Amino acid sequence: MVYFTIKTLKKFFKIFNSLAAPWQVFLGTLLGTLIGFLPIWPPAYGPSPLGLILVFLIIVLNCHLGSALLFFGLSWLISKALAGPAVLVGEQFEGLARWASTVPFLHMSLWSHTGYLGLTLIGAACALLFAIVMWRFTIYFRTTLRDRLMANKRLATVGKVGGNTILMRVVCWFFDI
Amino acid sequence: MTDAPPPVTPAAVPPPPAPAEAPKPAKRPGPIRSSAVILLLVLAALVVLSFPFVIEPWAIGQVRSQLKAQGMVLSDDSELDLKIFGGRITGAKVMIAELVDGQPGAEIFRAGALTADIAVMDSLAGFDLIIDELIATDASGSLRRRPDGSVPIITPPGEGIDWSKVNWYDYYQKLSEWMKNRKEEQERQEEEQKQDPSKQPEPQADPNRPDAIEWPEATRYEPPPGPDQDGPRVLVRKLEISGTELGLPDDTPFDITSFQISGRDVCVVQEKDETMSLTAKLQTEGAGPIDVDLKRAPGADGTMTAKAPQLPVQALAHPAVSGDALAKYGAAGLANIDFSSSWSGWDLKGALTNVVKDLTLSPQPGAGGEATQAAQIVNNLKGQELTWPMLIGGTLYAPKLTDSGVDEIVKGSLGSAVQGAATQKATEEANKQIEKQLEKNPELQGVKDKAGDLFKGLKK
Repeated sequence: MVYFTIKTLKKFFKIFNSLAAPWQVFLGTLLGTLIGFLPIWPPAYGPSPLGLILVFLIIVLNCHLGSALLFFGLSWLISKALAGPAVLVGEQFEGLARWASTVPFLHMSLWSHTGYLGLTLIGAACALLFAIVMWRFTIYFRTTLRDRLMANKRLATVGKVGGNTILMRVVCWFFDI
Repeated sequence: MTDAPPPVTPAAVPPPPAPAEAPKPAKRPGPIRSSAVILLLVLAALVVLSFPFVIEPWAIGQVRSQLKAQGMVLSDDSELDLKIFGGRITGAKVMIAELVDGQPGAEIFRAGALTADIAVMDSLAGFDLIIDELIATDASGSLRRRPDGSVPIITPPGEGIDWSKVNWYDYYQKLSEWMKNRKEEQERQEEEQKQDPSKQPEPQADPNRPDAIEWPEATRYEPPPGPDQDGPRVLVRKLEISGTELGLPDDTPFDITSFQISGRDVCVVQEKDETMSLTAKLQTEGAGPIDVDLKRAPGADGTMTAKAPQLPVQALAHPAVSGDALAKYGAAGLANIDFSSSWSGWDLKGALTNVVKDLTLSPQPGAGGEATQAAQIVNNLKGQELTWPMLIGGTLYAPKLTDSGVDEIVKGSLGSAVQGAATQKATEEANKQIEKQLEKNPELQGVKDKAGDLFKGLKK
């Protein structure tokens, strides 16, 4: 479990040092988070057109697959934990759920289900938030943080950074520098 | 003397390093993944591979649950094959039975082979099920009455009715009257909704949603019922069904032994741009061939023609078909029936032309004076061909004879037949008298022969 967590964390931090452009990270995070929260094929209801379209977009659009998969898994876990609050959110948008039941595409995408609607809305908010944070941090990392870390790593190599050598090496390992 | 050191040759000057190539600017990634085609192919292959295990069972489960909602069940022996991409369902040995107390009951429909092309995009555009083409071969069906006398599929809701005592004509009346009332109620509701939009039907929470146990707090809203439908509207753009057997509610000569039904835009609920046509060529057990042609225009207009060229009158008089109305006459003979009707709104207009020959009436004891009188007249015709035109009117749910055609018969063929019978009787009587006179006066024989020649000349 610890190993898995560490590997996942490393994959996460590696995103910033990847060859992908920041917009690709943004798009991957956005779509990955969305399909994590939205229903794709719940056994009780069958395929959700919106969920399947998002999966199709992840495949076709040149987004960063690593961030998409990572945020899909992360969001899926979060969505399981938020099943209760999602219903509360969905009930706040009862009018939207009722209206969605009259639109075949949205009805089949389970927007007329207060639980899934709540998850969809939470997912949309989280997806946008996560994507913007990832986009901004990727730019910050590549323009500022990476140079600093590399400089610190060089210093650590020649023993100029006293007590923080191990920490610095761990951080650089995580960022794949 | 020392040797002079050898002259130092200047070291070879290394060639100046070649100027480093400027790093190529990173290629900007395009918006579409170049490997998407491969990924999609892999995904498509996975989806296709998963069909028999995931998608087919799910889709067939949906078909079964839809049938169950309609009170029917698809037998386990039915072989259904689904092709999602083509939107085609093929089936073999398809058998649908009634669902009685959760168990399969009487068989309603069976088809040796069934093909349905579903218009996927059109169906997804609304809550409809639109089938481009539905072909069933080697089909058979049964609408035999249930033990309580009601008929599967077409029994209108209602309590306190002993369906076993309802003949076909009354059944038709009850069914069409229920449809009329339902339509009028829908029209009234639509009118109310137009005047007061707040009265429009609201989506209702589905109490039987499939995840009610796992997610009890959630609610799922179902689309509000349409103005005249309980479930998705079903439209068959092209229908072809042929089969060998179709049982009607009672065991009568009208039981169908082979049939071929073709249709275009067949549906119950019609859109404004759809004109439904349905033709049926039926071969019956004891009522000869029957051809039916139905056309339903958008709105409430339509026409129907039916031809039964070799219909035994006994078949029409079967108590299950016409109750006591004809049975008491004990009619026998062969009728050529040509029925045409049209309706606009609920008003019905039509004509029924019967050409009957070999008609005899043998009224049952106690049938009444009217039946006895009719028998006397008809039996005197001695089976001569009789054309009997009738006019039909009233309403679609309660058709009635607006003109029984008796006047027309008296003027036309019945009049001629009666006249012929009277002439024949008069001739017989005259001949008897002449023979008596000839016995008394043999010299009159020559006058008779001349008169006979004269009659022959007149006939020419």
